[in-house]
Amino acid sequence: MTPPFLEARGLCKSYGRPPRAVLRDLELELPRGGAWGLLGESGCGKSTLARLLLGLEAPDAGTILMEGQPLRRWRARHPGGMSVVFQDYTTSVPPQCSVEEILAEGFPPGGPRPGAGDLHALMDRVSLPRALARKRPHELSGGQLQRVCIARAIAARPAFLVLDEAVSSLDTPAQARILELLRDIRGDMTYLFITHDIQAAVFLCERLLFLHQGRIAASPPREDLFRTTNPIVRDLLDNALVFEDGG
Amino acid sequence: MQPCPQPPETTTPPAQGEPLRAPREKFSSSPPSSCPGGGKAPDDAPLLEARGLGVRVRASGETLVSDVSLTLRRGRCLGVVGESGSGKTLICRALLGLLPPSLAAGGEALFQGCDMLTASPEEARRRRGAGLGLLLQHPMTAFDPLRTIEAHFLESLRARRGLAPEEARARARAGLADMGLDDRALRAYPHQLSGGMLQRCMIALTLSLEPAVVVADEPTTALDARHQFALVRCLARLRRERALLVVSHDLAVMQALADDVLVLHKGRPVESGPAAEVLSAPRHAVARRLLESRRALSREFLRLRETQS
Repeated sequence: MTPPFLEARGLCKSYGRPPRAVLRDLELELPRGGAWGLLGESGCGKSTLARLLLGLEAPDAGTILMEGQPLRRWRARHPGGMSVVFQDYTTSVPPQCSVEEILAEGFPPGGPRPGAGDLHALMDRVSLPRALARKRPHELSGGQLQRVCIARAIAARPAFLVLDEAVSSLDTPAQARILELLRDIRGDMTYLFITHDIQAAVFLCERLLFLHQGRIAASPPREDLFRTTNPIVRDLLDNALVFEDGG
Repeated sequence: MQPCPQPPETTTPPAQGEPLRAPREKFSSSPPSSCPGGGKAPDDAPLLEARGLGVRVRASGETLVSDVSLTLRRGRCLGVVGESGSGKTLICRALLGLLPPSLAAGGEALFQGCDMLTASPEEARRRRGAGLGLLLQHPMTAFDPLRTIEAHFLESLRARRGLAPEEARARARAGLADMGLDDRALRAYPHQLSGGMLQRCMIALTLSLEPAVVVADEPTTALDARHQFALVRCLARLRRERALLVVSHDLAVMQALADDVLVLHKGRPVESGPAAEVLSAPRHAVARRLLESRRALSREFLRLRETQS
């Protein structure tokens, strides 16, 4: 039997003194492909879970397997196989570097140096005008800079892409454009789209994971979202700030 | 220069929460039958007024904001909308006399009759302390990193409201509870809290000072959906007895709060009018773009709600 693409068993993580448990025996299984929304209140552990899944931090207990292999081994065998886009695009890029230098960082170290053609193809993929190649971060808008971060993240064609509140700092026109871009470029990547915004989550994701008190409290498919009786899900649905046409 | 008139006392306690219904009623703008404003007659004089407000870079003379005029009365909410970089934040800062030294403001920004642009720094600070609250977009920079949240509350409430520590602590606890936070937040240092938690601390602190006018600059951006909703409800409540200027790119926030809307583009007003009109049939391309993107973001959610409910 093919093992799941990503499998987390009994994940625990605490911070602080006295320790405060953020993740408690969390179980998660993701098949390959598709966009998964990870929702929950601020401070509920969404970003902690992302850091563990990316191998940026070790869990206090529990295991993470990618395609049946321990995370560390999988990462060693698949350089550039997972990547991340964070919310804060201004601190995600070195301010003194040009767009093309930032994009070059995304190609796997040790591999061939990307040529102008590679960089232009990458910019085309995220709809960044090639004229911006020599610009530096402060000369770009927030939406353009986040496109740079997305382009860098997908340069090595990762199988797994974590988007941690990747559109939350943008204004609504830029949010809509970036979400459309993410939808268009997904291909066979598996997304973990972390957000507190359930409207953005259903825009992009077929399945939603609700993190509550350190565990996945519900994982309804998008098409059953409003039929869910889970109180955590209902609470988010009922408290979404929705623009009502004609209201 | 004329001395500025004295600000009236503002000691109205905020009303408590109430059940919510559908969006427009959720945050209804009609005043309640027993307004907790302390029985004062409604005062129609503008609390905050800008006339021909402009902002330019001192060194280069480059104009960043020009020709902004607005009037904010008690019990009203004015929404300022625009895309990133349209000058929304600069207007907030200019209105409060809080522009950085590299920028110069022109025109007038009158708070309770006092021009915040020409007032001395001490006078402007005193005015803000007495009745102008600012909710900022980036909570991380609003707190002193070396002091606990409690220390911020105690000092602000002592300096601006003359409260003793015990009284201030009680008010801090109540305000934080309104924002879904407990004593752990009170004892925490800023770096120990998430951005969303800090934003809620700042909101609780600002509201605990009971300002007559609250200027909220993208107040929901750093908050999760649940707390956005709680904050919008809180601001809606506050608007009834005070006055609110809300800056946002999100028309859902505007729909929930604003009575009137001013649309900015590249530092200039391009459209204004009653919120119901601007939000349903905007005339300017920028306002239409904001509306279209908001609709695009909500479309799937609304479709699911429609088909599954």
